[in-house]
Amino acid sequence: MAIRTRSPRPLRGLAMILLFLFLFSYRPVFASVKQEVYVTGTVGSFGGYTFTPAVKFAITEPGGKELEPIMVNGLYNGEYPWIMRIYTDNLRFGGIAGAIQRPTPDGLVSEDGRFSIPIEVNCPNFGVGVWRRVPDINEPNYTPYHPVADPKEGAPYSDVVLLGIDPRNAAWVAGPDGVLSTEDDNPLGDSTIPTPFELLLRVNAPPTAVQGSYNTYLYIEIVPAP
Amino acid sequence: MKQLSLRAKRSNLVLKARLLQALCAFAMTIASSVAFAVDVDPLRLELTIPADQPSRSTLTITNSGAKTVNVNVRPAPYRFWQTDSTRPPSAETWFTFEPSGALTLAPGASQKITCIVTPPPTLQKDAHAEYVAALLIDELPAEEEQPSEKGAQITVVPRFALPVYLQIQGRQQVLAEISRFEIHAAASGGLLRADIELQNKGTIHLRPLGTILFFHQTSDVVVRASPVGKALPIFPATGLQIPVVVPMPSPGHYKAVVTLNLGQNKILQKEAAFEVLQDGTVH
Repeated sequence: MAIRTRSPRPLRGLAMILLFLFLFSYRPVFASVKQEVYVTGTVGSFGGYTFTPAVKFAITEPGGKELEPIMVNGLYNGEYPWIMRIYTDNLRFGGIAGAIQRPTPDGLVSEDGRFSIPIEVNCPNFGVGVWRRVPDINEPNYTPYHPVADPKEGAPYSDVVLLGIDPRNAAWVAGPDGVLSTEDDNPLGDSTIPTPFELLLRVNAPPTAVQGSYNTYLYIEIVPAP
Repeated sequence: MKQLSLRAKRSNLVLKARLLQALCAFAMTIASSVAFAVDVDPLRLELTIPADQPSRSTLTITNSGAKTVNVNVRPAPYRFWQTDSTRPPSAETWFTFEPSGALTLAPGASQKITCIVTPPPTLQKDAHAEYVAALLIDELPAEEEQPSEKGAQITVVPRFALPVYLQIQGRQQVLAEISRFEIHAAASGGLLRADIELQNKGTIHLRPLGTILFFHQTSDVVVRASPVGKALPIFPATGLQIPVVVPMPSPGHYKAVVTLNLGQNKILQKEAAFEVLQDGTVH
C-alpha cells in the first residue's frame, strides 16, 4: 500500500499556484502531456459545393491522428473542365525570425514558425485508406494540375485534386481499367462523386514537434474552366 | 471560514468554467451545422479595354447562406492549366476594387464590386494585344474561426479563381490556320479518329466551335455529323490538337469536312479524303 504524505494546507495552495504557472509557461514535447487542438473551418459554396466542418481533436502523442470527417454536399455546375484542389498557403510564416527554413512549409505551423505538423487528406476519389499530403502552394516543387495525355503517365503534378471534370485527362477518361477506348471509359473525364461524402483530414505530429499554438489556412479552391 | 470561502470561490470558478465549456460546445455545434454559400457572377471576365484610360467592370457576390460572411477579392497571376504553357503577359497589377478590402455580407445580401482596370503607361508602347490574370475570391473565416493563440487551428478558406482576359482595343486580330486534319483508325477497333490541329496566328485567344461532317465521296450524302467539342482558350502563337472519335463507317470511300467558327465572323474549313477497307484499316 502506498503511503502519501499530505502537505500543510497553505503549502498545498502555494503548490497549486506553482503547478498552475508551470503548466502555462512550459511547452513540453507532445509525448508528455495531452494537448487539446481545435480545428474549425467552414467552406462556402461557389455556385454549388457546401462544406460543413467544425472539427476539434486532441493530439496526445506523436504520429498520425484522424480527425472527424468534413461533410461535403452540393454540386458545382459550371462549365467543364474544372477542378477542386486543396493546399495550404504558409508564405506568411516565412518572415518570422527563426521560422521554417525547410523547402516545404506545409501543414500546421507553430506560432513561432519553427515547427510544423503535416496534414493529410482522404477524399473517396482517392480510394479507401489512401491519404495524400496537403501541399503548400509555395513549396518549390509544387506543380499545378494539368491534363494527362496517356493514362499510363500517372499524375505529373503535385496538386491534390479532390474533384474535377476534364475530358482531356486520359487517366480520368480511361476509367477503372486504365485503358482508353474500352467499355468502362468515362468520356467526360468526370472525377466527381455523388454528395454528400466525407472528406477526411488527419495530422501527423512528428516527435520533434512541441506543444503550442499551431495554425494554417487550408484553401479549398475551385479552378473553373478558363 | 477563510478556507470555506476559498473553496466556495474555487467551486464557483469550476462551475463557471464548466458553463463556459458547455457554451463553447454549444457554439461549436451551432457553427458546425451552418452551411455557407457565396455565389459569384460572372465566372469569367473577358474585356476589351482602351490602352490609355481605366476601364470598369462589375462582379456581383451574393451570400446565399444563412450566416454573415466576409469575402475578399484580390488579383493574382493567371492560374488556369493549359496543355501549352505559353500565355500572354500578366495584368495582375492593374486592378483596384470599389469598395476595397473585405466585404461583410449578411444572409441573402448581394454586393456589386467594381473592378477598375488601369493599364500602365508603358502599355501604349507595348505591342501585346492581350493580358491575363485571375481574381481570387476568398470567403474569409468568421471572427470566431480566426486562428487562436492557444491550441492549434486549421482555418479553411474556400477560394474561387476567376479567369480574366483583357484585350486591348484596336490590337485584336483573329487569325488561325488548320495546320493538320487527318483521319485514321483509332487505337482500339471499331472507331475512327479525326485529328484537327489548329494554330492561332492572331493576337488574341480563340475559343473555336465546330463540326465534322463525313460524306460518301461520290454521292455527297452526309453519313455522320459530329461536334468538334468545346476548345479551351488557344493563346496567340500556340496550337491545339483537337481529337474527334466517331464509330467506324462501313468500308468505302469518304471525305470529312471540318468547320471551325473562330468568332468575329471568321470561319475555317478543311477537307480530308479517306478509305475504310474491309479489314477495318483506314487509308
